[in-house]
Amino acid sequence: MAKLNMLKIRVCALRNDRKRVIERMQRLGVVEIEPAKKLSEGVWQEDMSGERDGFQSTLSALQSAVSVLDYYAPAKDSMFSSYMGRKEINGREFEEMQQKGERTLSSCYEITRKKKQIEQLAADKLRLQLRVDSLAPWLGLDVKMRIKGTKSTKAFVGVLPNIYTEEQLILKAAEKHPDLTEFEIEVIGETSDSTCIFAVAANTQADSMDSFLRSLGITRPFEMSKKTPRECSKELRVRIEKCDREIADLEDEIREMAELRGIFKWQIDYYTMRLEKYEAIEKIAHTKNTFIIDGWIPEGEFPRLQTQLEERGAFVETLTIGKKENVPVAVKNGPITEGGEPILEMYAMPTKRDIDPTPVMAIFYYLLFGLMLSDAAYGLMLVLACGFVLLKFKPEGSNKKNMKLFMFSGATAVVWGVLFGSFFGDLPNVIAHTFFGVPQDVLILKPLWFDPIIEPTQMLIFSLALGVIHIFAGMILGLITNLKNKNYTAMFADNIAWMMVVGGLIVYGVDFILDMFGMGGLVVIPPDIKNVAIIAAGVGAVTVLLFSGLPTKSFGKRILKGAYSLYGITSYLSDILSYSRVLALGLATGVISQVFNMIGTMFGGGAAGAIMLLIVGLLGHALNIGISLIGCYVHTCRLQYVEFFGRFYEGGGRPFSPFSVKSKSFKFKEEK
Amino acid sequence: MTEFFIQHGGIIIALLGGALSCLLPGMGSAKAVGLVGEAGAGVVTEDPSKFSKILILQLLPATQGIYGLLTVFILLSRIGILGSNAAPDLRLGMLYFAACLPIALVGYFSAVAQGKAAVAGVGIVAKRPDQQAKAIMFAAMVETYAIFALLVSVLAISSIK
Repeated sequence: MAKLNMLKIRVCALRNDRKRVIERMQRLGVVEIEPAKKLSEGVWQEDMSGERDGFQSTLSALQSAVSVLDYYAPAKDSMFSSYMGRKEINGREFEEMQQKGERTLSSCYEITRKKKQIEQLAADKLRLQLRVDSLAPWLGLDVKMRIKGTKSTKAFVGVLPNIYTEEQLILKAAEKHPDLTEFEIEVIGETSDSTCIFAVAANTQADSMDSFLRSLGITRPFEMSKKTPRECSKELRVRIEKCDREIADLEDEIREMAELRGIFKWQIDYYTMRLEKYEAIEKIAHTKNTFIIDGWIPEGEFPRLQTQLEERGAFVETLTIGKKENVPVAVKNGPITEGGEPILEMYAMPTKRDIDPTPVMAIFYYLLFGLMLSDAAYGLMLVLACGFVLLKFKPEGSNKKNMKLFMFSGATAVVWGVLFGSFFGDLPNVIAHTFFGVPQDVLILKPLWFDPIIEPTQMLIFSLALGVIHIFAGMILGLITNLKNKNYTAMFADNIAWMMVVGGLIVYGVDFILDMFGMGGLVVIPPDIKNVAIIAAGVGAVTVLLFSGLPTKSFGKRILKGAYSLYGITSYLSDILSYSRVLALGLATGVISQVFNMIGTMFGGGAAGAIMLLIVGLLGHALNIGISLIGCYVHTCRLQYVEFFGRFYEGGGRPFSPFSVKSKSFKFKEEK
Repeated sequence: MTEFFIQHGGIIIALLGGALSCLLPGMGSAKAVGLVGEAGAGVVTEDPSKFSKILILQLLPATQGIYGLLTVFILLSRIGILGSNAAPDLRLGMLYFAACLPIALVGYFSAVAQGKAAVAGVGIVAKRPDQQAKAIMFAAMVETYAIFALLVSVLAISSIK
């Protein structure tokens, strides 16, 4: 079990060496720095907020420049790019990048400024467009809009609410102002709810014309220019075109800077690194001439850290770990079982007294996931896809572990699929029957073991049996945990006694249960062994009753506690039954793929039928894979978290988070 | 009428059961998935990067609908609507109807309950996205009962003679 042993260390050095020591520590990335507490006089923590703020603002400028570049000149990333590992650069490249980066830092501000200009221009353009729109009903007017009139007439230009025709207006004028005789009203255009008019009246009658139009609620048009509307609109269009051109130019300028993206990304990494460094400096204690770092390190990394830091003038020692200290936890597993680590991290890291359950859990995870998917073709696709990503993109950290998780789970699905005779459901049989005239009762693809869709009870029994094994594995891990913690009473009263109870009852009752499902005779237990089993179960139950209440002193209370924990037998029953979900999910995958195969072959044989089968098959199986994968993932997790971890695992340890280079795009090659 | 019922009643009643086991869990899942979608849309407005996490939560209560569908397909092939089995007589038809009831009823109610748990889980993802696993587990707990109901229905349908 691979829980790493942690050492507590203290690093002391002169202030002059601070940069070298801390940068080396960051590059090694194996120490979690513990913030200094309880400082005595003459020892203080330094405030680095000024520097940090500076880096923050540079970082946000760089990030917005990259997002602008991503918008106008999207990088050609493949769909797997988020799984891609970081690019490795060595010391010399680092220097080059740093110099280049300093030269181009101003460009990121330039890019954001250009982006702002584009936004400004787009807003201007919108405003101009609105003015053009408002001029549209006026285009029929061939005098300038501010026209006052002629020597002997007065002109009116305006908008009337409601829609009128010229006749209606003339009639209204005659009705309301009979004195109005020498005038002209022209409807220039209309919008959905108003009329644009031009009216002229002789100077003598201008006042009554004015009051007539006012009574109708005339308002000045939106756009009052000294030119005719047509000219005005044309001019506005020219300005819009100019905006468009300027925007396009700016966009081109931004696109030309797209090659800076790599440098920007590097600088983001660089400044993130420096920010982290200053955050670390804030945590440590300083005196006038020295500084002291307290921290945690996995035991195996200690010699390397010690030599490298002492080369740089620091003094490194280990401290004894106090009983109450919250030691961070890190786990490390082999290349196959490390796929289970993300599942463990999602639940909780082991505490001080827990063992690392990952190796056992990972194996069961792969088996159960594969059993729920139980299709050789789906499993094969999973193996190929994850294997491809692993080999091609070399993902790191949890991406890599997740890929492994699905790859190994897919691999067991291939095995289960062969045992249960499932390859895209019953696709081979369906194709043979539809296209090659093979009779329906002749099967091309035969299950090596049995077909769970035809014999669900057998599958149910198998799932439950696997569940019993899983739960027993959990109990054995519980036993090991108690053994390690020298908790012998719990080991006997909880682990061994319960194994006797559950194991004894199962051996005693297994043929009865099988008989209930119509599978009597599958397992025959000789009466002698049955007797031994029931006696073992009885002894176990009595042990639980008498001792699981320890360390309660009063005998009565202890028995009550024991009786209560004996009641926990129901949880074993429900936990074992819970494994029936393996059958249910396997059935769901299998039956639904058969349904799609059936729909696909409804159109019979021949070329048209083949095309239909291809289309229905592709869509249907893609859908089925998607749904099944989510289901398998969730339910395998549940079986691990509830049924398996419930038997032994406490969890809640503080994950180890070392002070390191948390870069996104680049990885710094370690010089030895 | 009586003769018609004796002759065709079996398949009618069996199909009625099948229809129910598709209808009710389907309705329940649709309602539940919709609920989670509504809650999720709010979170995604604030932080689009949480989309995939929410989507997993949204799909959790979708399985009851699938279980219903599964039951119906097994039933359809047993009663000869799909495939070549003989149509059931009245007694068998009624048995099939009864066998459909667990997934029909439990499917509906567990889907709605699971949907509500998933909606609450959306809240977890919104505030503490690193705790998504726990949100999933809370919702997945409910599904156990749908699975039990499915098993009873499927085992019964495939064992009725």
